[in-house]
Amino acid sequence: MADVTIKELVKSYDKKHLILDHINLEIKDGELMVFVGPSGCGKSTLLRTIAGLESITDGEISISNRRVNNLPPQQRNIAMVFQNYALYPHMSVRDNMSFPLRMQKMPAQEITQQVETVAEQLDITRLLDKKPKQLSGGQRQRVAMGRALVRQPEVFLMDEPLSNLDAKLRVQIRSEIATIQRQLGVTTVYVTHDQVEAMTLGQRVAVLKDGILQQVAPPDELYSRPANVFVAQFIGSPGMNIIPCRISGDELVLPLEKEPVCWPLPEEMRAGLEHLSRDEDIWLGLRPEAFRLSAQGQESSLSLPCQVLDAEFLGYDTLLRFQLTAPFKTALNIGEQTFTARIFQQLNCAVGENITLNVDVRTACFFDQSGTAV
Amino acid sequence: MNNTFRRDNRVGWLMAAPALTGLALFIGLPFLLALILSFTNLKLASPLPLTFVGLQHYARILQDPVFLRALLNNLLFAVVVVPLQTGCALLLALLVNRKLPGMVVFRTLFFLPVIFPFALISVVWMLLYAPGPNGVINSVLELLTFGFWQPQDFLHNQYLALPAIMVVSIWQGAGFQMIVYLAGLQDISEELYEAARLDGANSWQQFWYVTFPCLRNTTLFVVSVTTILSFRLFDQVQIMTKGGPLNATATVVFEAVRAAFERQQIARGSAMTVVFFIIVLCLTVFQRRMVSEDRRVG
Repeated sequence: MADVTIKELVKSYDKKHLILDHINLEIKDGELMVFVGPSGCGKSTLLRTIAGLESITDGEISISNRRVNNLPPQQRNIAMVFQNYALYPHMSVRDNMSFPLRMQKMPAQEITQQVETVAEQLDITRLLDKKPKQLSGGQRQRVAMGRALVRQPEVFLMDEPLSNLDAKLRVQIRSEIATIQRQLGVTTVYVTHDQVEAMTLGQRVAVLKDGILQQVAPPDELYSRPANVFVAQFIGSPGMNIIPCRISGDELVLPLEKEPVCWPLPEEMRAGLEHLSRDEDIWLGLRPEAFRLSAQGQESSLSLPCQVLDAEFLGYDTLLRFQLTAPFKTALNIGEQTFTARIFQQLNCAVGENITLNVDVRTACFFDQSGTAV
Repeated sequence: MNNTFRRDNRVGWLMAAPALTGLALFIGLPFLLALILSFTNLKLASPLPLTFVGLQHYARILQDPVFLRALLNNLLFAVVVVPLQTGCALLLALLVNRKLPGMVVFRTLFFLPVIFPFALISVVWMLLYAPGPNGVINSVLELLTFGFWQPQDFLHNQYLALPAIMVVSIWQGAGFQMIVYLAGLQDISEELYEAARLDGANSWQQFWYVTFPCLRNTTLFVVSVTTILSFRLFDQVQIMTKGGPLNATATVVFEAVRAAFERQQIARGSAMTVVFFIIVLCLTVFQRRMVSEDRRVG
């Protein structure tokens, strides 16, 4: 077992445009770390630099305190599951799984034993004599995992391994991966563009954008305390709603021209916001769950007048897409920006209907003008 | 439904008609003619009436030492040329498959001999093979062996003539198979190599366990086409050696042409081409078998 340390890692093809921009990251022994980000953010490239499939321009990668910058993939003792599984098409499942062990020159008897043990673990024993073409997507995925597991690598890398599976299978195999990883305790790096996968699988999640590491944190922290607006909007489905606001003393102010809406901040939130200069323009971040349908006599809440754009009933909750109406809409200068609320009940709202939503500010996040959390 | 099906069918046949007509006219008909003629006694400018002679010609040519020698030469040629040319083509394809600047130039250069007519190539190589110490190849060999090489008359030496033709043929043909292999190589997913590297395979093992098995069908195609082409060996022989010396370079097609057009023995020549056809047919059937077997298993 091993930990992976990445220091000041830079990857660039033309020395001008940085694919990976000074990445610093420590992956602990036995941890399941997920890299997540939109396509083109460099998450797969980062994974491939750990594997040794991509060279690095600057910085350092070490596995178990061994600098591996210049080691070819063969010598890093890592295994990888590819997006398209990369099973050898002409070999049977058994041969596919034996391959890494044969390359290690392991005695044939031991190979057979080890392959069969892992096959049993993954419930693919009856597939051992089939060829990859005869398998379904889910079965191929399992075989690819088997091939990676059979050699007992120090680090286990997975590059979007579920993206070719249908939704139901994806959920099933996702939980299987989590279980196997827990049982074996192998340090695992998992790349995905799907933030749901990231949140459910990762012990910690690293969010990347444009080659820059945005935040590394456990899923709950990523959700409740995003480091910046990008993370806030990327994590969560739907993402966080961002509204311009000001902090004025003990109050949260929505700067409407004539009559600003002021709302006293709860005690526990004031401390963190003291350093803000008075009347500085900042952003208020609200999760969709922070909205409640307004009921009579709830004076303490911040109320927002809005117009319903559409309401999607999802069985347990309803996703309400809305726009703010006057005077908020023009005064906040937010144009046609739409927001989403998650209401935990079935709503009978007509499109275009005007309603009032209350905001629970206790879970709110604040970001400065550059988008960084304050 | 039946109507649509019939109309689709009609359109299909209509579309295929030009090609089918060409095939029937220039391949089917001549072969049928050859097959029929091979059972007769047709000989141009012969006073004898045309009669049916059954398998007589087949019996004769299979006892004819020159024809048997031609068959043997073809076999020898195939045994040497097929593996060598296939190997060279694969090697060239592996070399030019790298993503380096200027690779297109090399691909073009290696492919160039394929587009030259055989007549031209044969003449150029005859100059290279020129006997005496002034011949290019002779003088190069002399230089390389520090003067130990004795100048040879390659094309008129009964032991060297066939190998000399083999060299020309490989040089000319490898470029085409290289392109076929190149297509096969580019079909192999890069991920397989990455997986193999992570699994600990070195370059040689990557070739042996990934590249080569993935090129199975390409190799079958290349081998069968090269085999068929080597049984069709004619141009080089006709231009460079005329089947000599002492029939050392005679081939089946060369013999058929000689029988039909030099000795006017049309029927005998036809019988030879039918034998040639049967050999090629067997090779093709064998190749199809191998490929379809792979499809079933794979």
